[in-house]
Amino acid sequence: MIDLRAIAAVARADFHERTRRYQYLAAIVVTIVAGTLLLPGRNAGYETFLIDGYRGIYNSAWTGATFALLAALLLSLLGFYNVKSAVARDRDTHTGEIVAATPVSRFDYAMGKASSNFGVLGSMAAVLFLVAIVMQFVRGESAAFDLRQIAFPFVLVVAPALALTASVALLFEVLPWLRGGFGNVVYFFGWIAALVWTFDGRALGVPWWRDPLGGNLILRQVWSSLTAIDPHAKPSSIEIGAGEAARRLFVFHGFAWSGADVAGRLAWLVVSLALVALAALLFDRFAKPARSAVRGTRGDLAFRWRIAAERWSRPLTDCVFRGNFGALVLAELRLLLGGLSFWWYLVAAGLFAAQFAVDTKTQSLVVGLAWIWPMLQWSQLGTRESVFATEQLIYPTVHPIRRQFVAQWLAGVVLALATAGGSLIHLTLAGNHSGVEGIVAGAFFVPTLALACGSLSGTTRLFEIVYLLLWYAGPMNRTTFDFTQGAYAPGYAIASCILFAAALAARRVRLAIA
Amino acid sequence: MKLEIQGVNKHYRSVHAVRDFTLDLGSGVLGLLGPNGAGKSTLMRMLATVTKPSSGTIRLDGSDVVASPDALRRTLGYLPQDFGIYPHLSAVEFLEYIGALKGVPRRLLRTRIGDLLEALNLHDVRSRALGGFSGGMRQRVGIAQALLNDPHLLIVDEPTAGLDPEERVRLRSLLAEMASNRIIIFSTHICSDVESIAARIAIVDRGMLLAYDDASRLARGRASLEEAYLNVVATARERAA
Repeated sequence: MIDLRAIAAVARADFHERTRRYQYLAAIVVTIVAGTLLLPGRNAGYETFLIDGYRGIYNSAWTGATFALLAALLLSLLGFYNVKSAVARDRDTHTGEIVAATPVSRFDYAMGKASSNFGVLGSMAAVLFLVAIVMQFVRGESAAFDLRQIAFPFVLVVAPALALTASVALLFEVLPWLRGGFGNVVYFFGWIAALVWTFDGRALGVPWWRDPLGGNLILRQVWSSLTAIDPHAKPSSIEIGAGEAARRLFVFHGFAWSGADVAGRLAWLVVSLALVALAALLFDRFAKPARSAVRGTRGDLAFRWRIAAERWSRPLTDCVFRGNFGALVLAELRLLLGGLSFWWYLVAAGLFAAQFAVDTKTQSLVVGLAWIWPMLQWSQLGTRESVFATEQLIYPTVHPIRRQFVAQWLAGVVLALATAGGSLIHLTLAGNHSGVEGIVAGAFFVPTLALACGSLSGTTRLFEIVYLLLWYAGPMNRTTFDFTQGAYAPGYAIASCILFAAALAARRVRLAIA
Repeated sequence: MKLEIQGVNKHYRSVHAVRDFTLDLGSGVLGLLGPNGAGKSTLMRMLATVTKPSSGTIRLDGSDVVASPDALRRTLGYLPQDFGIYPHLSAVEFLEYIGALKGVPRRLLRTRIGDLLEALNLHDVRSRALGGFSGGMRQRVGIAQALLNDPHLLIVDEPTAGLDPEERVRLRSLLAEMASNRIIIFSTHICSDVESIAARIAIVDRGMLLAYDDASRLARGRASLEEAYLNVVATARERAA
């Protein structure tokens, strides 16, 4: 039997625990700032939502459509990484053992956690909703205000998308192999695949089951309204996040929700509920002992880190007192690679060899692939001390910043140079100095980004999502974000310096408050 | 009340954490003594229905706890050895949360929380965020959550860790008062914690039950219970070697 009081208790406690953290406040501030950018002014030089060069004037209908579309897309991606920690918190803090010894059912617990996920995501969507209202007046293109035109897309498009995100995050948490960084990568590619599947390069309608985020529903209605004005408008030209201003404006009069549209969106709520039930079924109810109690759970990434940390303590102590910085870097490298299987090295070796096989023009792509492979190793940089609560052991060592922090960073750089070593040799032999500069700049940039993200957030997730986005936009799509290109090397070298300074500042703050 | 543990084993891959453990318990305090890594916590986790035995049965008043854990969970109080709290919740909020999961009626829960916070000397800090609590204060919050539902079976794993001497005495008195009509399993490796309040002592090492008797009988011919405990463990290890 479903115990609503238990569900509410789990949801409330988890929601309070998350929303009383400074990180949540920071996320709300970022949401507000991002929200103000979603409706750019006429001279901003960019647009957030165009169809065949058309942009709607900023009335309530267009504001609602734009905000709902972008809120569904952004929160389903970034929000996932934000909320995917509800069960992990109970597992890592051992609160789960107390919960497991109570009569609360798996479904009630899972439902409570999913509700908390939804609550956190919903609070961000609510902030965007309020920003949308304010921004319509700030832009002042249309004085006619219709609350329903902004509210309905949020309720019918954003809410089911967030419910789905909340339940998928929960499902990922209960599956051991999707719990850690690997799950974050899987979700990222799953999200990209879902978008491709949904939009398919067209604004024509797709059935509800191909539109989990509701984006196609919005595009279809906007395009339908546009073709009434310009029958020649092409549905294939949709730009979300365009780098140029709109060529033409039109008036979007608003959504006409059919019964099928509403039913389609409600169906995703049912799917979300089914996913929660599935998560409850797969949930082990914290039956596996805490990571320190049992040896040999090779699949548990956190456990492997712990083992690596244990291994690390001996060489670190020796190095510090002998003053051998090289040995300290080596110890950091050993820790970074600790617990990796033979297969990891085999794939890395394969990617290394592939760098010799491809021509110099394709090097960027291959280096990109070689640099996604050690992502979970880099994501440890700057986070280990907080993840394993070793601050009190590490910070009192001799020169914890000048030695340990720098050694940790250098270990990351060595890993980047080693994994792209094939390209470095290939390009050097080919006399392609620009290519070499690009890879060297990238080899410094990526671990520095990891160190900065880890030091600032104290978790691995910030780097994982930022890097995945950058990696996808850069080496995979060869935009200006490609940190392996020689042409952008000076920019990425400067970015590395700034990020290193940020990481250093964050570490100093942590040292001061430890 | 009667708790029957029959031939319980627990394997974690190649590790045999608990071996053929058999013990019958009635009301009163059982002191579970054993060195670190003896398998006490694994045994506690099985008794608390957190994890299932690899083999063997656990019965409470005749009903199979492994097959139907919910009946026990309603009357169970459990304090794990390592437990966390939500640092941004207050003591009252955390206890309300656990109380709701245990199904304690809302009105009764409020009274119960007030009484426990008073008894455990936490009343003055009841609204403060748990993240700011000292180790001893957190431990007392853990004890309070274990007692929320007035449990018939109370399992406490190293409950005195982090407590100052005064708080240790207070906890021992509290448990001794409660022991008359319930089973209390008190796991520790500090003999003085259980010497005065445990009716029976079980000594465990390497997952096996080495001795089970009254504290006074175990200590007979020895200077203290501690010496007796060390002797039992050393003898068993010599035999195994």
